[in-house]
Amino acid sequence: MKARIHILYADQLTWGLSTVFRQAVDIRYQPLYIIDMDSASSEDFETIIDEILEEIPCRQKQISTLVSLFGKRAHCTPGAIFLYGHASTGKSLVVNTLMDKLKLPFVILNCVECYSQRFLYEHILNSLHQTDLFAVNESVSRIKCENMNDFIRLFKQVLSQKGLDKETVYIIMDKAERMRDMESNILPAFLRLQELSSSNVCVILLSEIVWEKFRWGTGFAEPYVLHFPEYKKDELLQILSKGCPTDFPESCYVMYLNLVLSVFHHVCRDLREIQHLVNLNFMKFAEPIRNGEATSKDSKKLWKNIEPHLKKALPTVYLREVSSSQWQRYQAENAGDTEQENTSQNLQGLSHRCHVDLPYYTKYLLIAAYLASYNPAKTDKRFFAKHTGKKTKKISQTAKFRWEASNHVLGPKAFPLDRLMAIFYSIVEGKVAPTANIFMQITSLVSLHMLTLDPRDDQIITPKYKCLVSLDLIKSVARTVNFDVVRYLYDFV
Amino acid sequence: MDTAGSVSKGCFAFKGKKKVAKLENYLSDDEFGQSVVKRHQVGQDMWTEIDTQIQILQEELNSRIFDDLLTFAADSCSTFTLDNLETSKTMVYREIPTAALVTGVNTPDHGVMFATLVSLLKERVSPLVAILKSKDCQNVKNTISKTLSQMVDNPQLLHDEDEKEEELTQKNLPLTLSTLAQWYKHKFKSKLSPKKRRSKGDDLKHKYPPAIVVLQDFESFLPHVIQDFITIASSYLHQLPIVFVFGIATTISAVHSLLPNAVSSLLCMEKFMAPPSSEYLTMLINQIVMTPEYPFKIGARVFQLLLDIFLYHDFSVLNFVKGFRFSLLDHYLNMPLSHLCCPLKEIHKKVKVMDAEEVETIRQLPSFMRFVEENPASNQPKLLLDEKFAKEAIVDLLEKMHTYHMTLFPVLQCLHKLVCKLPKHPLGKQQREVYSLVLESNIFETDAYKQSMELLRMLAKDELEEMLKQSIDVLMEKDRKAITYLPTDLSLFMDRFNTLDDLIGEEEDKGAEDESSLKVIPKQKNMYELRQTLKEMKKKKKKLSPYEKLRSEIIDYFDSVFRKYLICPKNLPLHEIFYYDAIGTVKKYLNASPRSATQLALSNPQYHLQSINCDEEENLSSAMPDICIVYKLHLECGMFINLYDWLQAFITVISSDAEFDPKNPDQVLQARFIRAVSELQFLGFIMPTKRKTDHVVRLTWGNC
Repeated sequence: MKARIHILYADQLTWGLSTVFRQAVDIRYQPLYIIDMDSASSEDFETIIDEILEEIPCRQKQISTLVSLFGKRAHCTPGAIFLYGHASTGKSLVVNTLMDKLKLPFVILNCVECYSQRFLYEHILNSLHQTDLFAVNESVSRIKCENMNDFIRLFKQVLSQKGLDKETVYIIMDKAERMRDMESNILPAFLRLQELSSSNVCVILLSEIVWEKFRWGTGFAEPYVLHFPEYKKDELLQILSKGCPTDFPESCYVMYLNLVLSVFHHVCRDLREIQHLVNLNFMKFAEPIRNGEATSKDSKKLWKNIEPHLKKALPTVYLREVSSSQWQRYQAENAGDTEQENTSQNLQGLSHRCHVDLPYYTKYLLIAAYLASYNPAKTDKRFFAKHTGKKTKKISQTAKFRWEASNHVLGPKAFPLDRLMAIFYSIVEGKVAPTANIFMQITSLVSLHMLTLDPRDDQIITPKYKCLVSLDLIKSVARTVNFDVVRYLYDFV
Repeated sequence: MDTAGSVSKGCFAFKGKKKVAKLENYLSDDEFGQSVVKRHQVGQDMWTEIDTQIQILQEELNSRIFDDLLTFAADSCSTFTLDNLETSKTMVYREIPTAALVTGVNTPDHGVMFATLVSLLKERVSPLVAILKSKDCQNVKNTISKTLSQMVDNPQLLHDEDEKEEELTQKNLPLTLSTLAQWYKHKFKSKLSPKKRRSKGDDLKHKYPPAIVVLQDFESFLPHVIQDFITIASSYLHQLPIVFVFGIATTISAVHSLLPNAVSSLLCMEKFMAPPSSEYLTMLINQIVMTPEYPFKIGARVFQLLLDIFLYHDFSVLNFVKGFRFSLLDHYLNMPLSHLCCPLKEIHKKVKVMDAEEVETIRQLPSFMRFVEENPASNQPKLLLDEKFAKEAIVDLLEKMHTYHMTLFPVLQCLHKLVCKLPKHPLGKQQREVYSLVLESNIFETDAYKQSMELLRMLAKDELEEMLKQSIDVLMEKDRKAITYLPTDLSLFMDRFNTLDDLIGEEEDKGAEDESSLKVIPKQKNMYELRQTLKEMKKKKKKLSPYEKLRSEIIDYFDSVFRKYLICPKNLPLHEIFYYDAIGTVKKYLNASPRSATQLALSNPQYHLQSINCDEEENLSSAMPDICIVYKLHLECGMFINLYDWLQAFITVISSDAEFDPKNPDQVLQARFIRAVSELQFLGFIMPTKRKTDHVVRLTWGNC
């Protein structure tokens, strides 16, 4: 037994030549459990692993790799493991479940939260120490730690205090890409934590980007890299089918999932998003069955029933603008209406998001800002001065030739305040006094993020703005004041 | 030891007694001051009354918006529990319940709205509410510390807890959500277990109150801060039932412009729409402005101005109320007789104590003069000389004014009901538009009114019936004693509608006869005669059907009612006491244009400085202040102004031709010039530049 451990340890020492080793692991990804002397606990161990595999489908390879890396509790593991893969490919799930089921000592840390290194250290130490901040007896005080040096020292202390120095302690760092933004010593130090603290610790980094992007500076110890690939369609199906309601025939549920995937799979492969969509539309799908209008075998009828709803949900995928309960209420309200009304209401409900109601002059200010942003300043004379009809045609032809340089492709340009006001006064109907209220509206537009103040120039003497709204929105705003905005845009003349 | 051995000098702040400014401090002791005190009380009472009404309205409106939101907040975390962490952890796909409250772009009103929301949330849903504003949250740390301090320092929680809770201050604890989560666990898990035993039923619901985070101005948050904050919050969801409320001013798509999919998929959003502020304004105008309860009224022009500010500038009801309040205060301050603008029952008392001088002031009022002239000749000298007689007349007139208001608004509403659905809306869609027409002039003399009456005469039967019903409803509302006869008259018309069907039967027979008689056109000998007969037949008035008769009767009746009641208040005697129409003052204070004021002062110094004697014609003279001369000279320049040329021009204007010596300019003049130029720079008309030596850049053009 001991010899085996030594072999494993030796493997780790040759970590630099890890490619060879990695292949080796890949080959033996079939369960390679080190047989313990206590056979009963090893049986337990295997049943736990089987349970985990049952619970998390389509991740056998990753789980067994990790399990073999972890070994038994007292075994020495690699100093750092790097898991990467797209969002919702099961990274955190796999790690958390392993930790939970195997009852390993671990600390989870979300790197987004660590706005200072102090927080990072103290969180790890206190979680290990299980400090209760609001404990009744006040003798237990919180561990304080300012830098990496103290951290290593205190870390060893805590481990020996809590009797954890006999087994591997895991530190799991989620969103590890954030560690690159922290102080430059943190990432290398954590990668070498095992070496520096000379204790049995394993740092697991979870990230959505590849390891190569982490390499900068010096002192890096290469972690063991494990990829979580995206789920394929049949894998998605397998995972989703686990969510089948207990009182619903499973074959029918799989059919429903197939339908949903057939509509959404080409736009969305995110498991989480598809799960959301599945939950959202399931009530509608099951309705005819619950009502007794169709049986679970009646696939064509069910498809006819659900298809329009799925199609409707298609343009708003990823947006999450309705919660599932609201969506269901909404579907239920519409159920009584005729189909036509249904769609029109639906469109209103969902495309309503583009509509903004602004005060009258503010609308003109916004239009003026848009024109100032997208028209070259030298063309203002042509658009807003009177009696310059002749020139229009000539330039419109040249404009067509230079379509690549279209201002709408290049994006909005900054303009000074007086240009905005000049355009405003030339397009607004009637005489408008330059009151404080008008200028206040410009600020209010900035606070609504429709305009933005250009930070480069002096913001008090010559403030420059940019217009941030889209052409569609400006068109709809202009329509409400009967202003033909396209006629004034250089790109469309 | 001598403790006062310090030699350092210091500045010590002594907190004096807090001084509350009293009315007397503002007013002089003279007669004007005394009279203001008298009016101030009346005005103050009036405002308190109006203000409470506004508060009530606001609460009503808010409760309607927020009811859904509150239930959402309460329900969203009802399944949360700390007891069995195992089950909650296995739920992988967890989303933070989020209410997206689309509030509309009227940013000044948001403060009040969210303050109410927060107090309601605290009252009804959960004591743990934090409100975050973008200006306090420039980084994640600040955001979390704000959240933490607001939730933990909540006095509601502290008073029933032991004192040791208070030691949880920002200094000795890390500012993280994990602290909050631990605090929450400690607080609610341990505390509520004995309670649960005692009363299982009602406490269960509030066992774990949600921690509500309200983001007031969601658009203005820095994207990376809010993204991080949401990500962090979502990772604590199994320990802390967090609910977000986003206040979104524009559209819901703002969420997506701020949050990438990875973050927005952590949220489970539900959209709530606040009603548009124009709806609120309509309600406010109907209940505060267009009501006989408050004798103070704003005149046509001020009303229009306040509406314009609302519709054209800011959509802010708060500002409208402010404007209304300003008008009220200004009215009571500057109108010497405004203490008579009081509730009906106090009039007798007030008029009784009036002294001769005040009666004289009333006699001076133009509307009273007109009233006197209209009186029979025998009464005129009495009105002008006999104080007692005049007082009686004044009481009478004031009471009449109140009755006028009592009748005006129901009838106005009735007219609005009739015209609001007409094609092209000659009298406008909203009731306030009709009201502003009434304020301006006699509405029945306007073209729009005539046009709408014409349109009303062409209504179909069912439409008219509907309108009649509506106007009866309007007139029957509440206790409107003044015009009880109107609804009865109208219901008589209604009855006639019902019997109309029988009449129509008869009429059809007649019509048939007529038609048959028409058909029998005697054979004419030539075309000319035929044409003549046809013309005659055309001239012959087409006989009206009974419905048409009834319709014209009804419209005539309405017309007469409107002519009787919808008189322009300007034509009534003593309207000055009730109506405030000083548009100039209101404009100056509420819709100021500082730029124009500066320009006016610079180009027309005699407007402010009467001492200068310069002709309007003459543009430049040495008598003007230096800055005005410099300003006027700079108006003639282009983008860049040469300082030397400018100085020369300045010297030419100031000094007479004889003294002028271009080679050796006076140093005093130079200094004066430089001072004027720097004053202009201070005012923002010019700016120094590096692009051209000895030049400055002009910053303003024309009027903008």
